[in-house]
Amino acid sequence: MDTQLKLDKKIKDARSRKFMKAVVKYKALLIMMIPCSIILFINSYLPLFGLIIAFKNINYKDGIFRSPWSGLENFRFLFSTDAAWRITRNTIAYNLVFIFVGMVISVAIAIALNEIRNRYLKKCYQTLVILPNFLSMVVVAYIVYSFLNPEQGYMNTTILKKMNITPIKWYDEPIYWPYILILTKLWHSVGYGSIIYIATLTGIDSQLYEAAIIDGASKWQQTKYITIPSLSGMMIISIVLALGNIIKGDFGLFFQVPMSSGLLYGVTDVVDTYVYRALITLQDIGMASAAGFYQSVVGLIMVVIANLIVRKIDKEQALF
Amino acid sequence: MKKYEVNAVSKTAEIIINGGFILFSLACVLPLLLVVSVSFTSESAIMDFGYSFIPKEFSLDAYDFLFSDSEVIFRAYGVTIFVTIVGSLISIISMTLYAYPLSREDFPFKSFFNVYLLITLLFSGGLVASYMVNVTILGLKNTVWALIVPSLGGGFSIFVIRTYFKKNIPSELIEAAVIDGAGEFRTFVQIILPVVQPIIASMLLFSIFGYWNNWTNSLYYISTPKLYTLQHLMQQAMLNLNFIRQSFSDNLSAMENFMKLLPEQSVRMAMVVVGVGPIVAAYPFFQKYFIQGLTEGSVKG
Amino acid sequence: MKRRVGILLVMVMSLAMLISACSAKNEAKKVDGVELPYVKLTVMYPFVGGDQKDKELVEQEINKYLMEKLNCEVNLDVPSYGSFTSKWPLMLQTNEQLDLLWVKDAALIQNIPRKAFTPLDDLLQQHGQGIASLFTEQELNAMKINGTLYGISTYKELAANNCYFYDDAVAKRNGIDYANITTYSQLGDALEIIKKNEKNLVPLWMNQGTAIPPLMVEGEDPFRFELIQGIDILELDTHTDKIISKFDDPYLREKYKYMRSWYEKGYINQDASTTEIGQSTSNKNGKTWIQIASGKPGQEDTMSLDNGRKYGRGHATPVMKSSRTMMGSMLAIPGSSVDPERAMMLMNLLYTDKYLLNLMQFGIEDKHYIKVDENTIKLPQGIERATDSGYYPATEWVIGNQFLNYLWQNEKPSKWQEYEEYNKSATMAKSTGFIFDQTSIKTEIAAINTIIKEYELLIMSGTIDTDSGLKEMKAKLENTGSLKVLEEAQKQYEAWKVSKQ
Repeated sequence: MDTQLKLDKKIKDARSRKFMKAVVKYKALLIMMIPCSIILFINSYLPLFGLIIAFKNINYKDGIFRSPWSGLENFRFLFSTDAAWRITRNTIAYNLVFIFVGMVISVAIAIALNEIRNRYLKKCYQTLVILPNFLSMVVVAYIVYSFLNPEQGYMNTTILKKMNITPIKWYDEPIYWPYILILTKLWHSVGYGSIIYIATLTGIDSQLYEAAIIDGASKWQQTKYITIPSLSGMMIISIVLALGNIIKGDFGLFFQVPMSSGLLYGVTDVVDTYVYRALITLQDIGMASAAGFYQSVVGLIMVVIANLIVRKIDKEQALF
Repeated sequence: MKKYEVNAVSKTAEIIINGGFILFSLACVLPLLLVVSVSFTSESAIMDFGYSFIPKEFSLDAYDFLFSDSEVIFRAYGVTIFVTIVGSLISIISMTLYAYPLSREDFPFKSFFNVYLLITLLFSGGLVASYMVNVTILGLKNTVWALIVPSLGGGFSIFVIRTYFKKNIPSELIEAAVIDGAGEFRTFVQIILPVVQPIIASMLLFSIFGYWNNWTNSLYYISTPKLYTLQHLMQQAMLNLNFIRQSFSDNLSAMENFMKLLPEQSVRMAMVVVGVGPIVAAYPFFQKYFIQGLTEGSVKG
Repeated sequence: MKRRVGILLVMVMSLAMLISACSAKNEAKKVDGVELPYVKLTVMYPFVGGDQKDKELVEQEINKYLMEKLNCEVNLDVPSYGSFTSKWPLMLQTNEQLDLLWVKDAALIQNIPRKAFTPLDDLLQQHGQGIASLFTEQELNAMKINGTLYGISTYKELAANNCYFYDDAVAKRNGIDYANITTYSQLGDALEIIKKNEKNLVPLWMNQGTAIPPLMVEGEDPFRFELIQGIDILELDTHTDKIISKFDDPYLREKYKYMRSWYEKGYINQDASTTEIGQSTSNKNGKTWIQIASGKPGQEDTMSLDNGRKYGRGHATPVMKSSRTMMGSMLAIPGSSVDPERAMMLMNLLYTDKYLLNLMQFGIEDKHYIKVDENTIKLPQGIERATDSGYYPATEWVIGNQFLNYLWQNEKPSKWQEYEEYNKSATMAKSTGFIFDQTSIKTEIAAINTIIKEYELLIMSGTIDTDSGLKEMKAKLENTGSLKVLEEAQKQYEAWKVSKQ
């Protein structure tokens, strides 16, 4: 018994000695991490006490800590209508499309851009493709509206007219909207998303390509065996982190762009628009926090699972 | 340079790629032109004909409205530029310093700091808690720091930088530096940084765009117009316009004293032009000095 | 860690007190025989006209005056309306110092259970006699929530009604006698004429925000259904004394049916459920000819001036006074006030002190305006619009006693008398004073809101079929607990009736 304790203590001592040794050895690296650690602590960790708002029946006089607990009451509204299934399905399905299709296009843009020899054109394309990202979703919504508006919209007054198709009341017809939303989102984000891949491509060692050319590799083979593997790390990290937001809908996209038309909710309603509608008149921070907390937990689970899978395939690329 | 020619894609492929880019670029640039055009169109022409690429009736009303107090706008430009420069510089420096140790295979505290960072990406205490921290604990309200601190750092960018480091810095490079007897800091500045410039430039760009487009910090933490940022001013103009429209129709009788004309739709577009115009115009400039210049540097190495 | 932060806070605070103790301002002062220590109050209300260049100048002037009157100063936190709506909730939620806050009904009612505001009854008795004497007992009761006064309305028109206004020239040239349109079928006939004759006009412009006031249906009692304060979807049926969902109101159903048929006949713009262009914008640009607005005095003159064409008054709903009409613009004292008594004294001044109020509304005499006579002002030489004068926040209806405000030269000198008569002509609603408390069933209400927001606009604008739309919505609502809400409302109503006796 006594020896066991002693042994434990010894192991503990050895561990802490090892820890201290590591701290000393890597003190320079640790010092490097201080500024950002402090920033993260202030901006993210200090406010984390706000999470308990989700479990409280808040009153402002007692403040966050002394207000009474309310258990899971604040979460109930999320699941109490038959829209619960609809919003979950929509949010996840759209996000999956955005994540994967968006990434494929972004990577394709980066690779294609790399193959353009005219430097002027290259710079020109690179500038133009990120422009949509500068328009807020509200403005995007108006541009889409100028195309699809039933009375003056360009689609109805010009394009469909020329094709002799009767005008369509776009904002009354849900069947078109998955395509419209996906197109809008991709248009808005793929150019911007390609920036990190372009940067990664510029970092590839040109000797790799030289060696491949000497071996007689075709352009396609070079892309397949050198370019894409070089981008894979960046692609994986993007996917894993994006999965953490799988159940957060882009509010601007789903609320503004369909002009909150009630007829379209079947295909445009996501968690964030639902929460907005529920709480706009109630202004209840408890319920709003509950919604956020729920989204975070789902995100956490997704990231952990994704990370496990990545770990299985290639330990190097795993996040933790 | 010559081998580059040898390794070029075929003529047809090049035509297809260029064609694709021209189409996509048009899809990206035309809506922006539409925005500019609408901002110069008179309100009644918009009501009559909808949006069009060439103003049916040219008008500067929207800009008149936005620049009714030009002193305020130019001040806001100043604040925004200051905040953008200081904020994105602090951001990029701290993020890079955090990402580097994470990328080192031999760094024993890697997983702890990875998780420390990941949690910030997944969980947020919410606006109320952040507001309390920034106002009550840090006392940032109505200071320029309120525009900078809440947006510092960024988990996504750090992970991206880390991934790039992992890919592009061979451990032999670091080992060689260690054998040389260079300290960690010297290794980082003299050996590592030159290799990773492309990703740092890109993340700096993200950070710059982020600060430039942020309007919520100014909305929540600033109540003296002297410190308003440009985007806040623009956002506010729009909200005020909505409110004025709603309330004036039945609440205010001194309408005539207030404003003759409310060019709503054109103002919305003019706001975009005033708000993002400068940064869009500056982007090719950045690009020239950042990404492309660096590309040449790194390809050589 | 926590304790250390606490110690730090105490140190900082005592330091702050030490510093402020050194300043001369901190002296107590006798005002009207009462000892008043110096205090600085934070006052927050929206500058409707946006940020004002000379705000600080005016603030200094206000403080000079207030030091004399109440030995206090104010920190005017006056964001433009767009920022105001996002700022005040945060300040309340984090208990930041706020001594006077402008609120609208829902903002006040919902934050009472969250203990955000100070009860005003006693304060009003002690320090607010000027306010108490302005309002009748009945009016003060109408502003109470569960028998307690938390907010006080701006003294302005306290009643409300809705009215149809018509473009006079359009009506004349089509031979429409709009003053006598009193039923939906008559309105429908007029819309048909416009549709036929005026190709450039939309006969009835609707958008997301347009509310169509009722016209008379045969045998209808215009006083029968009253919208309940505290929730936007419940009505009191005054005939049966039962609370009903407004979607079960037969008159409303009738109205929706007309809207549907008008939409199908093309009298209503086809983008009614999505466009953000409102009726007033549409009228201003001459795209339509009917404007629905509050029927308060002088409205047609304002409208004609605003649109540059003559507008005439048509059918109006009865002028009503209720808890709804009297809580649209109020001042309240938040729980975080450092000195509620002084805040009440200041509020009292806003309702009684003509100099102070007009200083806050119009700025400094001879700089921001010029006096024409005792009650009339005009803009200084060389300034065309009030917005260019450096100070015109357009807050006449936001704070204080509107009847003390100066009038611009182009306004009717009899404006305030007309308002007074309008107030007097109003009928008091039966449910006045009953305010629904959502706290106990907020989960159900949140869920119900999501469904109503989905359907209401479509039904209101006639975009979907009235009967099937209402049926579908009702089924969904009942699934989510709308019956529970009705039950709760009825229970609260009965309890309120008992308490009133």
